[in-house]
Amino acid sequence: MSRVASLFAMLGSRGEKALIGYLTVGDPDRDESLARCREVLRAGADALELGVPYSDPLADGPVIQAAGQRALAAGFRLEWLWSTVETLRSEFPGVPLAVMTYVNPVLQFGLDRFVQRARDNGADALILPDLPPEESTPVRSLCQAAGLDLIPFVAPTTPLERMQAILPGHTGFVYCVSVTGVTGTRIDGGGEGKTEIEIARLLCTARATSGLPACLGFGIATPGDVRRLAGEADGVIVGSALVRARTRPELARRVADLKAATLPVRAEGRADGMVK
Amino acid sequence: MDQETDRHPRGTPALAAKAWDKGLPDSRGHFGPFGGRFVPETLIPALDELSAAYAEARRDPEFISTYESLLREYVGRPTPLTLAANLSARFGFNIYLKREDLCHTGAHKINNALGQALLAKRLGKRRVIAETGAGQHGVATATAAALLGLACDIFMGEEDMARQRLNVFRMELLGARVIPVTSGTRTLKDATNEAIREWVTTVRDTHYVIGSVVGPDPYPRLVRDFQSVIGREAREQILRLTGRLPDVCLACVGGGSNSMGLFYPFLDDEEVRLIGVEAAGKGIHTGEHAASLTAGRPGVLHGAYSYLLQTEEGQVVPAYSISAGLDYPGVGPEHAYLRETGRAEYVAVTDDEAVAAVELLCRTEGILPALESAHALAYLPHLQLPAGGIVVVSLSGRGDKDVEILQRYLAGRDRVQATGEPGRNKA
Repeated sequence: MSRVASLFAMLGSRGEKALIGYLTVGDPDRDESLARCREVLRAGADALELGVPYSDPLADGPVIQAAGQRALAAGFRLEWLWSTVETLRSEFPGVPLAVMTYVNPVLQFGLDRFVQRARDNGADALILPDLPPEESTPVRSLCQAAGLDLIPFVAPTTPLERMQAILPGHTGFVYCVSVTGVTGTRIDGGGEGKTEIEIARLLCTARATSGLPACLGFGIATPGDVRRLAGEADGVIVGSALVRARTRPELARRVADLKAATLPVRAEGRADGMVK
Repeated sequence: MDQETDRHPRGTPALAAKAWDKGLPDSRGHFGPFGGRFVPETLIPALDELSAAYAEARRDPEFISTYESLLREYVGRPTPLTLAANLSARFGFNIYLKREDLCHTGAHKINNALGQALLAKRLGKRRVIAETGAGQHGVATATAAALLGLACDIFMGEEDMARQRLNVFRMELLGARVIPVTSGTRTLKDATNEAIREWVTTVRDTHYVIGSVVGPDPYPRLVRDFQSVIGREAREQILRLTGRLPDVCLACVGGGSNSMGLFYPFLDDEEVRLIGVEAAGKGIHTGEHAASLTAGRPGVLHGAYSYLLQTEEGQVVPAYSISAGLDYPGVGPEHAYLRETGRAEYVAVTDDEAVAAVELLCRTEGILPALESAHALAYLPHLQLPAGGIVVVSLSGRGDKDVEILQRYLAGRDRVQATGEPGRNKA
């Protein structure tokens, strides 16, 4: 069983959600970036998404854009990604590691070479936000052959028929985008619970259609967001909120607080009014 | 065609001469290996919706007649095809100018903006957004939005806003909001990123009016179709005026909308050479240019697979050109395809050559061309044609917007000349 599948099986049996952290590799520089990755995993994140800095990150909001700019200014090269994956793999042997990148750096490196290198260095999954299923056939077969999960996306705008068409055959988990927007968008429920219901429906449909765990990302920043929005999720992906943390202790605290919110709700939690 | 091969070392036909196919793109928006849709999932359903609406609109006589009557009564089409007699005498062959500079708002951009704004209405969207570099597409979109009663936000790089202050004011007069883009290079590339991000966020009630033959399918074909009125008219006009097809069609290429509009109706006329002129900026060898077909490599930018300026690791490199409208590191996927198949040729001219062409057209013909269009004119000295040869040049826009830039540029050039410093590369 892949690391991703084992993680969700284990957490599911405990009634827990996965906390998947995101950091941009090379932000603010090579060494500190690696130290921050370690910090996130030590503080309790169940998996880590390693973002490749990119000059034109279409799906990202200002926080992750700025992180990419800092990393590029610090001299980021893909070599930094490979060494980060390799180091984290040896230090955290069981933890799923995903590489998140826009597709152009992959194309320039060579699809085949990129997938091989990712696998050889110990990555488990590839997340390509600007590679929709219509264009992903070559990458998908390479990933399949290499035993990497190519993570599919669904958005609030994805109709049911499209989910039924694109999700089957994927492995890993489904990345459910919580909002029509970029990363770091604040999710305003408007107090009517409409957003919460829509997100719950998206998660349930994605899970039922794919047979995979459904994880919620984009705009999940606080333990409150996790409790309010991710009730139906098998995991949450938190990026901007971690990238924004100024110091490593602050980063660790955020991760620990978020992780606590993914644990099963205890009876006293309900009595405290922590959950609606 | 052979005589030009040395001018575009990367432009040698990769496929047999007849390998290009006018029936493209295919159902997935691909022109051979180029094009496609490389955008976040959130946008895919909107692109499907747009494709479906466009397919319907193309078959709807009412849509077509509304669009055509706007082109006629509002834009002022057909635009003339002017024989530039003095210029022709100078070069020894006949030069015809397709006068898109005489369109309402001063450039060809309005052809597409009106078409897309009509589509937006058809889709029930209440708002349009657009990116702009020189401001011409922004002005065109703001104009179409004002006419058709749509709210309008224009994304423009901070640096371009400073370079093109006049157009910023025009857009605001037309009731549009101009949103400064401060990310990345603060020019057209990042204005496009920001417009796409805004579209991801507001896709349910907003239509994104892309200004060139770039972006994810269906945009490259949509914009091409709306702009192909340029080539349809030019083809008809040159046949009427001279009784034959031209030897060469010449147009500037940034994203490539006016060139694709001119070229497309001539694709089947294989005896007509199609030449796209990119911006070589300060010279290709300096790295400060915008010649993505001449000096770039294939990759993904703004949702399509095409040529772009990039580092070895696939980071997009900022473009440079004196002309804000050509200052873009990518190019439309259909141009990449026409280059690969050898159906069109792509060359590049420098800032210096373009400015010299502005001066030349002003003095010989009394026409002030946009700096963008001047790039096409600047290739005329490199053309070798027999006497009686015919060239159609797309004069894509007028140059009023560029006078401040020209003033500064010419002042600098005169200073260099006066002090006898080297550095001016006179065309």
